Amino acid sequence: MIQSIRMKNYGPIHDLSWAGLGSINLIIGSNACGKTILLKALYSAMRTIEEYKRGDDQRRAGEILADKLYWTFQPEKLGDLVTKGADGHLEFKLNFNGQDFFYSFGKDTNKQINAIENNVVPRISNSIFLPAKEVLSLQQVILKSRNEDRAFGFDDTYFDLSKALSQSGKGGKNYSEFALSKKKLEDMLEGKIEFQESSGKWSFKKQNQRFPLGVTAEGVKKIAILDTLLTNKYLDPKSIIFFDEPECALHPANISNLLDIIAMLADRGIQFFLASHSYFVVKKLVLIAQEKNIHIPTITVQDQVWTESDLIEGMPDNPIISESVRLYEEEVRIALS
Amino acid sequence: MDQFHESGMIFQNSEEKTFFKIDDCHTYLSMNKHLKIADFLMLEHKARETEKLFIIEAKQSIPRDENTDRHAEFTNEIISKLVHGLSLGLSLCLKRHHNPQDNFPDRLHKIKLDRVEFKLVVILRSLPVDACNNFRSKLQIQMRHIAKLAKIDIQSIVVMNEDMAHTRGIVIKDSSA
Repeated sequence: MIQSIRMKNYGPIHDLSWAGLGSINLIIGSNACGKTILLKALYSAMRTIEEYKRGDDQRRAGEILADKLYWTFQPEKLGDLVTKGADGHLEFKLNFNGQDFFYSFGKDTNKQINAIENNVVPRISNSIFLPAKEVLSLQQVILKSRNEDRAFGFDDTYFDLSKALSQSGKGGKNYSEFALSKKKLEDMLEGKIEFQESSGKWSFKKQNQRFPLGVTAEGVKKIAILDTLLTNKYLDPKSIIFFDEPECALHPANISNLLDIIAMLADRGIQFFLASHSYFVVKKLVLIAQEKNIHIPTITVQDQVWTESDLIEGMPDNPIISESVRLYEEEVRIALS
Repeated sequence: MDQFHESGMIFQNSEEKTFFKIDDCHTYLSMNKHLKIADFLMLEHKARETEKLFIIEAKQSIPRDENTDRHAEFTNEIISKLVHGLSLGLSLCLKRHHNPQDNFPDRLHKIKLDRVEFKLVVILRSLPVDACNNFRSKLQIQMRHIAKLAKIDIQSIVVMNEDMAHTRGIVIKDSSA
Protein backbone atom coordinates (compact mmCIF):
# COMPACT_ATOMS: atom_id res chain seq x y z
CA MET A 1 0.00 0.00 0.00
CA ILE A 2 1.22 3.50 -0.78
CA GLN A 3 1.55 5.15 2.62
CA SER A 4 2.77 8.64 1.80
CA ILE A 5 3.66 10.91 -1.10
CA ARG A 6 5.89 13.96 -1.47
CA MET A 7 6.06 15.99 -4.69
CA LYS A 8 7.83 19.24 -5.51
CA ASN A 9 7.90 21.30 -8.72
CA TYR A 10 5.90 18.66 -10.58
CA GLY A 11 4.01 20.54 -13.32
CA PRO A 12 1.22 22.49 -11.62
CA ILE A 13 2.05 20.82 -8.29
CA HIS A 14 4.45 23.13 -6.47
CA ASP A 15 4.65 21.39 -3.14
CA LEU A 16 2.55 18.49 -1.91
CA SER A 17 2.92 16.21 1.09
CA TRP A 18 0.27 13.61 1.77
CA ALA A 19 0.79 11.08 4.54
CA GLY A 20 -1.42 8.59 6.36
CA LEU A 21 -2.93 7.25 3.14
CA GLY A 22 -5.71 4.68 3.34
CA SER A 23 -7.36 2.02 1.24
CA ILE A 24 -9.47 4.68 -0.50
CA ASN A 25 -7.95 8.09 -1.14
CA LEU A 26 -9.63 11.03 -2.82
CA ILE A 27 -8.17 13.94 -4.74
CA ILE A 28 -10.62 16.79 -5.24
CA GLY A 29 -10.05 19.75 -7.46
CA SER A 30 -11.32 21.87 -10.30
CA ASN A 31 -10.19 21.44 -13.91
CA ALA A 32 -6.46 21.85 -14.58
CA CYS A 33 -5.52 21.94 -10.90
CA GLY A 34 -3.18 18.97 -11.20
CA LYS A 35 -5.26 16.10 -9.87
CA THR A 36 -4.85 13.93 -12.99
CA ILE A 37 -1.12 14.74 -13.06
CA LEU A 38 -0.88 13.59 -9.45
CA LEU A 39 -2.65 10.33 -10.36
CA LYS A 40 -0.41 9.81 -13.40
CA ALA A 41 2.75 10.51 -11.39
CA LEU A 42 1.71 7.91 -8.83
CA TYR A 43 0.82 5.45 -11.56
CA SER A 44 4.15 5.93 -13.37
CA ALA A 45 6.02 5.32 -10.12
CA MET A 46 4.03 2.22 -9.24
CA ARG A 47 4.40 0.72 -12.72
CA THR A 48 8.15 1.35 -12.54
CA ILE A 49 8.27 -0.53 -9.24
CA GLU A 50 6.15 -3.34 -10.71
CA GLU A 51 8.06 -3.71 -14.00
CA TYR A 52 11.48 -3.59 -12.33
CA LYS A 53 13.08 -7.05 -12.38
CA ARG A 54 9.88 -8.61 -13.64
CA GLY A 55 10.58 -11.75 -15.65
CA ASP A 56 13.67 -11.30 -17.78
CA ASP A 57 13.49 -7.51 -17.89
CA GLN A 58 17.08 -6.29 -17.45
CA ARG A 59 16.34 -2.57 -17.52
CA ARG A 60 17.40 -0.37 -14.66
CA ALA A 61 14.67 1.34 -12.64
CA GLY A 62 15.76 4.72 -14.03
CA GLU A 63 15.28 3.48 -17.60
CA ILE A 64 11.83 2.08 -16.85
CA LEU A 65 10.79 5.28 -15.11
CA ALA A 66 12.08 7.56 -17.87
CA ASP A 67 10.22 5.51 -20.45
CA LYS A 68 7.08 5.48 -18.32
CA LEU A 69 7.10 9.23 -17.76
CA TYR A 70 7.83 9.90 -21.42
CA TRP A 71 4.91 7.82 -22.67
CA THR A 72 2.52 8.80 -19.85
CA PHE A 73 2.99 12.56 -20.02
CA GLN A 74 4.33 12.72 -23.58
CA PRO A 75 6.55 15.77 -23.16
CA GLU A 76 9.22 16.67 -25.71
CA LYS A 77 11.77 16.15 -22.98
CA LEU A 78 11.31 15.03 -19.35
CA GLY A 79 12.52 18.42 -18.10
CA ASP A 80 9.28 19.91 -19.45
CA LEU A 81 7.53 18.28 -16.48
CA VAL A 82 9.37 20.59 -14.07
CA THR A 83 7.18 23.48 -12.90
CA LYS A 84 7.74 26.49 -15.15
CA GLY A 85 9.87 29.10 -13.40
CA ALA A 86 10.72 26.82 -10.47
CA ASP A 87 14.18 27.26 -8.99
CA GLY A 88 14.68 23.68 -7.88
CA HIS A 89 14.42 20.25 -9.43
CA LEU A 90 11.29 18.18 -9.76
CA GLU A 91 11.17 15.79 -6.82
CA PHE A 92 8.97 12.78 -6.27
CA LYS A 93 8.93 10.42 -3.32
CA LEU A 94 6.49 7.77 -2.26
CA ASN A 95 6.56 5.31 0.57
CA PHE A 96 5.27 1.87 -0.28
CA ASN A 97 4.87 -0.60 2.60
CA GLY A 98 7.49 1.29 4.58
CA GLN A 99 10.05 1.47 1.72
CA ASP A 100 10.90 4.63 -0.21
CA PHE A 101 10.89 5.24 -3.93
CA PHE A 102 12.43 8.56 -4.93
CA TYR A 103 13.51 10.37 -8.07
CA SER A 104 14.46 13.85 -9.09
CA PHE A 105 15.49 15.71 -12.25
CA GLY A 106 15.90 19.24 -13.53
CA LYS A 107 14.41 21.21 -16.37
CA ASP A 108 17.27 20.35 -18.75
CA THR A 109 16.81 16.61 -18.38
CA ASN A 110 16.12 15.00 -21.71
CA LYS A 111 15.37 11.30 -21.33
CA GLN A 112 17.72 10.04 -18.65
CA ILE A 113 17.00 10.03 -14.91
CA ASN A 114 20.08 9.58 -12.78
CA ALA A 115 18.78 10.59 -9.36
CA ILE A 116 16.60 7.63 -8.52
CA GLU A 117 16.44 5.49 -5.41
CA ASN A 118 14.24 2.42 -5.34
CA ASN A 119 14.10 0.53 -2.06
CA VAL A 120 10.76 -1.14 -2.75
CA VAL A 121 10.81 -4.91 -2.94
CA PRO A 122 9.84 -6.10 -6.47
CA ARG A 123 6.23 -7.19 -6.57
CA ILE A 124 4.06 -9.32 -8.82
CA SER A 125 0.80 -7.37 -8.47
CA ASN A 126 -0.32 -4.89 -11.11
CA SER A 127 -1.58 -1.37 -10.77
CA ILE A 128 -3.87 0.17 -13.34
CA PHE A 129 -5.00 3.63 -14.33
CA LEU A 130 -8.66 3.96 -15.33
CA PRO A 131 -9.04 7.13 -17.39
CA ALA A 132 -12.21 9.21 -17.43
CA LYS A 133 -13.14 7.80 -20.83
CA GLU A 134 -13.65 4.16 -21.65
CA VAL A 135 -11.12 2.47 -23.94
CA LEU A 136 -12.94 -0.65 -25.13
CA SER A 137 -14.25 0.89 -28.33
CA LEU A 138 -10.81 2.28 -29.21
CA GLN A 139 -8.72 -0.59 -27.92
CA GLN A 140 -7.43 -1.80 -31.29
CA VAL A 141 -6.70 1.75 -32.45
CA ILE A 142 -4.77 2.43 -29.25
CA LEU A 143 -2.76 -0.75 -29.53
CA LYS A 144 -1.89 -0.10 -33.19
CA SER A 145 -1.01 3.53 -32.58
CA ARG A 146 1.44 2.58 -29.85
CA ASN A 147 2.70 -0.84 -30.93
CA GLU A 148 3.14 -0.18 -34.62
CA ASP A 149 3.17 3.58 -35.14
CA ARG A 150 4.94 4.48 -31.86
CA ALA A 151 3.00 7.75 -31.99
CA PHE A 152 2.01 10.20 -29.30
CA GLY A 153 -1.72 10.62 -28.75
CA PHE A 154 -2.83 7.81 -26.50
CA ASP A 155 -0.68 7.95 -23.41
CA ASP A 156 0.55 4.99 -21.39
CA THR A 157 -2.53 4.99 -19.15
CA TYR A 158 -4.65 4.15 -22.21
CA PHE A 159 -2.04 1.84 -23.72
CA ASP A 160 -1.46 -0.14 -20.52
CA LEU A 161 -5.19 -0.47 -19.95
CA SER A 162 -5.73 -1.67 -23.51
CA LYS A 163 -3.04 -4.30 -23.00
CA ALA A 164 -4.43 -5.32 -19.63
CA LEU A 165 -7.86 -5.84 -21.17
CA SER A 166 -6.30 -8.05 -23.86
CA GLN A 167 -4.80 -10.35 -21.26
CA SER A 168 -6.48 -13.71 -21.34
CA GLY A 169 -7.54 -14.99 -17.93
CA LYS A 170 -4.86 -16.62 -15.85
CA GLY A 171 -5.52 -20.19 -14.90
CA GLY A 172 -6.86 -21.26 -11.55
CA LYS A 173 -9.82 -20.11 -9.56
CA ASN A 174 -11.11 -16.57 -9.49
CA TYR A 175 -10.15 -14.53 -6.46
CA SER A 176 -12.81 -15.33 -3.89
CA GLU A 177 -12.22 -11.87 -2.41
CA PHE A 178 -13.74 -10.33 -5.53
CA ALA A 179 -16.76 -12.64 -5.93
CA LEU A 180 -19.35 -10.30 -4.43
CA SER A 181 -17.92 -7.20 -6.10
CA LYS A 182 -17.98 -8.95 -9.48
CA LYS A 183 -21.57 -10.05 -8.97
CA LYS A 184 -22.60 -6.49 -8.14
CA LEU A 185 -20.74 -5.12 -11.17
CA GLU A 186 -22.45 -7.66 -13.41
CA ASP A 187 -25.82 -6.78 -11.85
CA MET A 188 -25.17 -3.16 -12.78
CA LEU A 189 -24.24 -4.16 -16.33
CA GLU A 190 -27.39 -6.28 -16.77
CA GLY A 191 -25.33 -8.25 -19.26
CA LYS A 192 -21.78 -9.05 -20.14
CA ILE A 193 -19.06 -7.56 -22.31
CA GLU A 194 -17.28 -10.22 -24.33
CA PHE A 195 -14.25 -10.17 -26.59
CA GLN A 196 -14.73 -12.11 -29.80
CA GLU A 197 -11.48 -13.55 -31.02
CA SER A 198 -12.90 -14.09 -34.55
CA SER A 199 -13.64 -10.42 -35.17
CA GLY A 200 -11.16 -8.98 -32.70
CA LYS A 201 -13.96 -6.83 -31.29
CA TRP A 202 -15.85 -6.43 -28.05
CA SER A 203 -19.60 -6.81 -27.93
CA PHE A 204 -22.28 -6.52 -25.26
CA LYS A 205 -24.42 -9.56 -24.57
CA LYS A 206 -27.73 -9.03 -22.82
CA GLN A 207 -29.88 -12.11 -22.34
CA ASN A 208 -29.73 -13.78 -25.76
CA GLN A 209 -29.02 -10.68 -27.76
CA ARG A 210 -25.62 -9.45 -28.77
CA PHE A 211 -25.02 -5.75 -29.43
CA PRO A 212 -22.05 -4.10 -31.11
CA LEU A 213 -20.02 -1.98 -28.72
CA GLY A 214 -20.87 1.16 -30.71
CA VAL A 215 -24.47 1.07 -29.49
CA THR A 216 -23.53 0.27 -25.91
CA ALA A 217 -23.72 3.06 -23.36
CA GLU A 218 -20.43 4.71 -22.34
CA GLY A 219 -21.18 4.04 -18.66
CA VAL A 220 -21.73 0.32 -19.33
CA LYS A 221 -18.36 0.09 -21.07
CA LYS A 222 -16.69 1.80 -18.14
CA ILE A 223 -18.12 -0.63 -15.61
CA ALA A 224 -17.28 -3.51 -17.94
CA ILE A 225 -13.61 -2.50 -17.91
CA LEU A 226 -13.37 -2.99 -14.16
CA ASP A 227 -15.30 -6.23 -14.39
CA THR A 228 -12.97 -7.54 -17.11
CA LEU A 229 -9.82 -6.68 -15.14
CA LEU A 230 -11.16 -8.57 -12.14
CA THR A 231 -12.22 -11.50 -14.31
CA ASN A 232 -8.95 -11.88 -16.25
CA LYS A 233 -7.04 -11.51 -12.97
CA TYR A 234 -4.93 -8.60 -14.15
CA LEU A 235 -5.95 -7.17 -10.77
CA ASP A 236 -5.35 -9.01 -7.53
CA PRO A 237 -6.01 -8.10 -3.89
CA LYS A 238 -2.71 -6.18 -3.71
CA SER A 239 -3.29 -4.06 -6.81
CA ILE A 240 -3.65 -0.30 -6.81
CA ILE A 241 -6.30 1.37 -8.97
CA PHE A 242 -5.92 4.99 -10.01
CA PHE A 243 -9.40 6.07 -11.08
CA ASP A 244 -9.78 9.40 -12.84
CA GLU A 245 -13.28 10.88 -12.56
CA PRO A 246 -15.18 7.68 -11.75
CA GLU A 247 -18.41 9.65 -12.12
CA CYS A 248 -17.84 10.30 -15.82
CA ALA A 249 -20.70 8.95 -18.05
CA LEU A 250 -22.48 7.29 -15.14
CA HIS A 251 -26.01 7.85 -13.85
CA PRO A 252 -25.99 9.06 -10.20
CA ALA A 253 -27.47 5.75 -9.03
CA ASN A 254 -24.65 3.90 -10.79
CA ILE A 255 -22.02 6.26 -9.37
CA SER A 256 -23.35 5.34 -5.97
CA ASN A 257 -23.31 1.61 -6.80
CA LEU A 258 -19.81 1.84 -8.26
CA LEU A 259 -18.50 3.59 -5.14
CA ASP A 260 -20.07 0.89 -2.98
CA ILE A 261 -18.22 -1.70 -5.06
CA ILE A 262 -14.98 0.29 -4.75
CA ALA A 263 -15.47 0.24 -0.97
CA MET A 264 -15.93 -3.56 -1.09
CA LEU A 265 -12.80 -4.04 -3.22
CA ALA A 266 -10.84 -1.73 -0.91
CA ASP A 267 -11.99 -3.84 2.00
CA ARG A 268 -10.56 -6.86 0.14
CA GLY A 269 -7.13 -5.28 -0.24
CA ILE A 270 -7.10 -3.13 -3.39
CA GLN A 271 -5.93 0.42 -2.77
CA PHE A 272 -7.76 3.19 -4.64
CA PHE A 273 -6.79 6.70 -5.60
CA LEU A 274 -9.79 8.55 -6.98
CA ALA A 275 -9.72 11.98 -8.60
CA SER A 276 -13.00 13.79 -8.87
CA HIS A 277 -14.70 17.15 -9.05
CA SER A 278 -18.14 15.71 -8.43
CA TYR A 279 -20.13 16.79 -5.41
CA PHE A 280 -22.03 13.52 -5.70
CA VAL A 281 -18.87 11.39 -5.44
CA VAL A 282 -17.62 13.31 -2.42
CA LYS A 283 -21.00 13.06 -0.70
CA LYS A 284 -21.30 9.33 -1.32
CA LEU A 285 -17.77 8.72 -0.03
CA VAL A 286 -18.57 10.70 3.12
CA LEU A 287 -21.52 8.37 3.70
CA ILE A 288 -19.34 5.28 3.06
CA ALA A 289 -16.67 6.57 5.46
CA GLN A 290 -19.20 7.24 8.18
CA GLU A 291 -21.25 4.09 7.66
CA LYS A 292 -18.23 1.74 7.52
CA ASN A 293 -16.21 3.80 9.97
CA ILE A 294 -13.23 3.96 7.60
CA HIS A 295 -10.81 6.79 7.02
CA ILE A 296 -10.88 8.25 3.51
CA PRO A 297 -7.91 10.61 3.30
CA THR A 298 -8.70 13.47 0.97
CA ILE A 299 -6.58 16.18 -0.54
CA THR A 300 -7.91 19.28 -2.16
CA VAL A 301 -6.13 22.11 -3.93
CA GLN A 302 -6.93 25.78 -4.04
CA ASP A 303 -4.56 28.50 -5.21
CA GLN A 304 -1.79 25.87 -5.44
CA VAL A 305 -2.12 25.02 -1.74
CA TRP A 306 -2.95 21.37 -1.03
CA THR A 307 -5.03 20.74 2.07
CA GLU A 308 -5.64 17.36 3.70
CA SER A 309 -8.83 16.20 5.34
CA ASP A 310 -10.62 12.94 6.11
CA LEU A 311 -14.12 12.22 4.85
CA ILE A 312 -14.98 10.37 8.06
CA GLU A 313 -15.20 13.85 9.57
CA GLY A 314 -17.75 15.00 7.01
CA MET A 315 -17.75 17.08 3.85
CA PRO A 316 -14.42 18.87 3.32
CA ASP A 317 -14.25 22.59 2.78
CA ASN A 318 -13.39 23.08 -0.88
CA PRO A 319 -14.67 24.92 -3.97
CA ILE A 320 -16.92 22.06 -5.14
CA ILE A 321 -18.72 21.95 -1.82
CA SER A 322 -18.73 25.75 -1.61
CA GLU A 323 -20.37 25.96 -5.02
CA SER A 324 -23.11 23.51 -4.04
CA VAL A 325 -23.64 25.50 -0.82
CA ARG A 326 -23.78 28.74 -2.79
CA LEU A 327 -26.31 27.24 -5.20
CA TYR A 328 -28.48 26.05 -2.33
CA GLU A 329 -28.37 29.41 -0.61
CA GLU A 330 -29.38 31.02 -3.91
CA GLU A 331 -32.18 28.48 -4.27
CA VAL A 332 -33.48 29.27 -0.77
CA ARG A 333 -33.29 32.99 -1.47
CA ILE A 334 -35.38 32.54 -4.62
CA ALA A 335 -37.82 30.17 -2.85
CA LEU A 336 -38.51 32.63 -0.06
CA SER A 337 -38.53 35.83 -2.12
CA MET B 1 -40.26 43.97 20.54
CA ASP B 2 -41.52 40.48 21.38
CA GLN B 3 -38.85 37.85 21.34
CA PHE B 4 -39.29 34.09 21.26
CA HIS B 5 -36.58 31.59 22.15
CA GLU B 6 -36.73 28.23 20.46
CA SER B 7 -34.09 25.50 19.96
CA GLY B 8 -31.32 27.88 20.96
CA MET B 9 -32.38 30.56 18.46
CA ILE B 10 -34.11 33.91 18.87
CA PHE B 11 -37.12 34.91 16.80
CA GLN B 12 -38.29 38.50 17.06
CA ASN B 13 -41.25 40.52 15.81
CA SER B 14 -40.30 43.43 13.58
CA GLU B 15 -41.95 45.95 11.29
CA GLU B 16 -42.00 43.40 8.51
CA LYS B 17 -42.47 40.20 10.49
CA THR B 18 -45.19 39.09 12.87
CA PHE B 19 -44.63 35.88 14.79
CA PHE B 20 -47.23 33.74 16.51
CA LYS B 21 -46.06 30.90 18.75
CA ILE B 22 -48.54 28.20 17.80
CA ASP B 23 -47.48 25.57 20.29
CA ASP B 24 -48.00 27.96 23.22
CA CYS B 25 -51.50 29.14 22.29
CA HIS B 26 -54.48 28.13 24.39
CA THR B 27 -56.35 26.61 21.49
CA TYR B 28 -53.50 24.19 20.84
CA LEU B 29 -52.82 23.48 24.52
CA SER B 30 -56.47 22.54 25.01
CA MET B 31 -56.12 19.82 22.40
CA ASN B 32 -54.69 16.31 22.62
CA LYS B 33 -51.16 16.69 23.92
CA HIS B 34 -49.87 13.99 21.58
CA LEU B 35 -50.75 16.12 18.56
CA LYS B 36 -47.43 17.57 17.44
CA ILE B 37 -47.29 20.96 15.82
CA ALA B 38 -44.84 23.47 14.32
CA ASP B 39 -43.38 26.21 16.50
CA PHE B 40 -44.41 29.39 14.71
CA LEU B 41 -46.60 31.12 12.22
CA MET B 42 -44.75 34.09 10.80
CA LEU B 43 -46.36 36.66 8.55
CA GLU B 44 -43.97 38.61 6.38
CA HIS B 45 -45.54 41.84 5.20
CA LYS B 46 -43.10 43.90 3.17
CA ALA B 47 -44.21 46.95 1.25
CA ARG B 48 -45.00 46.25 -2.42
CA GLU B 49 -44.60 42.50 -1.94
CA THR B 50 -47.14 39.72 -1.68
CA GLU B 51 -47.68 38.68 1.93
CA LYS B 52 -46.06 35.44 2.93
CA LEU B 53 -47.23 33.14 5.69
CA PHE B 54 -44.42 30.98 7.07
CA ILE B 55 -45.04 27.82 9.07
CA ILE B 56 -41.78 27.35 10.95
CA GLU B 57 -40.41 24.38 12.82
CA ALA B 58 -37.11 24.91 14.64
CA LYS B 59 -34.76 22.18 15.84
CA GLN B 60 -31.16 21.94 16.94
CA SER B 61 -30.23 19.37 14.27
CA ILE B 62 -31.25 15.98 12.84
CA PRO B 63 -30.28 12.42 13.75
CA ARG B 64 -26.81 11.77 12.32
CA ASP B 65 -27.29 8.49 10.51
CA GLU B 66 -29.59 8.97 7.53
CA ASN B 67 -30.42 5.29 7.08
CA THR B 68 -32.03 4.58 10.40
CA ASP B 69 -35.57 4.27 11.70
CA ARG B 70 -34.83 7.21 13.97
CA HIS B 71 -34.16 9.39 10.95
CA ALA B 72 -37.35 8.26 9.19
CA GLU B 73 -39.28 8.90 12.40
CA PHE B 74 -37.76 12.37 12.66
CA THR B 75 -38.71 13.18 9.05
CA ASN B 76 -42.29 12.01 9.59
CA GLU B 77 -42.51 14.06 12.78
CA ILE B 78 -41.34 17.22 10.97
CA ILE B 79 -43.88 16.64 8.18
CA SER B 80 -46.69 16.14 10.72
CA LYS B 81 -45.72 19.30 12.55
CA LEU B 82 -45.71 21.37 9.37
CA VAL B 83 -49.05 19.97 8.19
CA HIS B 84 -50.66 20.44 11.60
CA GLY B 85 -49.19 23.95 11.83
CA LEU B 86 -50.63 24.79 8.45
CA SER B 87 -54.08 23.38 9.36
CA LEU B 88 -54.35 25.08 12.72
CA GLY B 89 -52.84 28.30 11.37
CA LEU B 90 -55.47 28.49 8.64
CA SER B 91 -58.27 27.74 11.12
CA LEU B 92 -57.01 30.49 13.43
CA CYS B 93 -56.78 32.95 10.54
CA LEU B 94 -60.36 32.05 9.58
CA LYS B 95 -61.48 32.50 13.20
CA ARG B 96 -62.83 28.99 13.31
CA HIS B 97 -61.11 28.77 16.68
CA HIS B 98 -61.68 31.92 18.61
CA ASN B 99 -60.09 31.98 22.01
CA PRO B 100 -59.24 35.53 23.12
CA GLN B 101 -56.53 34.12 25.36
CA ASP B 102 -54.61 33.09 22.24
CA ASN B 103 -53.73 36.73 21.57
CA PHE B 104 -53.77 35.87 17.89
CA PRO B 105 -52.27 38.89 16.08
CA ASP B 106 -54.86 41.01 14.34
CA ARG B 107 -52.56 41.29 11.36
CA LEU B 108 -52.89 37.53 10.83
CA HIS B 109 -56.66 37.79 10.88
CA LYS B 110 -56.50 40.29 8.08
CA ILE B 111 -54.36 38.39 5.60
CA LYS B 112 -55.87 37.63 2.23
CA LEU B 113 -55.86 33.87 2.30
CA ASP B 114 -56.57 33.58 -1.41
CA ARG B 115 -53.40 35.49 -2.25
CA VAL B 116 -50.94 34.86 0.55
CA GLU B 117 -47.91 32.74 -0.33
CA PHE B 118 -47.27 29.83 2.01
CA LYS B 119 -43.74 28.86 3.03
CA LEU B 120 -43.04 25.70 5.02
CA VAL B 121 -39.70 26.27 6.69
CA VAL B 122 -37.59 23.99 8.86
CA ILE B 123 -34.68 25.62 10.68
CA LEU B 124 -32.08 23.10 11.86
CA ARG B 125 -29.76 25.26 13.87
CA SER B 126 -26.40 23.56 13.48
CA LEU B 127 -26.89 21.55 10.29
CA PRO B 128 -24.33 22.17 7.48
CA VAL B 129 -25.81 23.75 4.34
CA ASP B 130 -25.33 20.70 2.12
CA ALA B 131 -27.15 18.53 4.66
CA CYS B 132 -29.99 21.11 4.72
CA ASN B 133 -30.19 20.70 0.95
CA ASN B 134 -30.42 16.90 1.24
CA PHE B 135 -33.08 17.06 3.93
CA ARG B 136 -35.07 19.55 1.88
CA SER B 137 -35.05 17.15 -1.07
CA LYS B 138 -36.37 14.42 1.21
CA LEU B 139 -39.16 16.64 2.54
CA GLN B 140 -40.10 17.81 -0.94
CA ILE B 141 -40.45 14.23 -2.14
CA GLN B 142 -42.48 13.12 0.86
CA MET B 143 -44.67 16.25 0.94
CA ARG B 144 -45.36 16.37 -2.80
CA HIS B 145 -49.01 15.32 -2.43
CA ILE B 146 -49.62 17.61 0.54
CA ALA B 147 -48.18 20.56 -1.40
CA LYS B 148 -50.42 19.71 -4.35
CA LEU B 149 -53.55 19.47 -2.19
CA ALA B 150 -52.83 22.75 -0.41
CA LYS B 151 -51.70 24.40 -3.67
CA ILE B 152 -48.33 25.26 -2.24
CA ASP B 153 -45.34 25.56 -4.56
CA ILE B 154 -43.03 22.62 -3.77
CA GLN B 155 -40.09 25.03 -3.87
CA SER B 156 -41.65 26.79 -0.87
CA ILE B 157 -40.62 23.88 1.32
CA VAL B 158 -37.25 25.01 2.61
CA VAL B 159 -34.67 23.76 5.10
CA MET B 160 -32.04 26.11 6.48
CA ASN B 161 -29.61 26.45 9.34
CA GLU B 162 -29.33 29.31 11.82
CA ASP B 163 -26.91 31.32 9.69
CA MET B 164 -29.17 31.11 6.65
CA ALA B 165 -32.19 32.02 8.77
CA HIS B 166 -30.25 34.97 10.14
CA THR B 167 -29.31 36.13 6.63
CA ARG B 168 -32.99 35.88 5.69
CA GLY B 169 -33.93 37.92 8.78
CA ILE B 170 -35.97 35.15 10.40
CA VAL B 171 -33.79 34.81 13.50
CA ILE B 172 -31.63 37.35 15.23
CA LYS B 173 -28.23 36.62 16.74
CA ASP B 174 -27.81 36.96 20.49
CA SER B 175 -25.63 40.06 20.83
CA SER B 176 -24.55 39.02 24.33
CA ALA B 177 -23.26 35.64 23.12
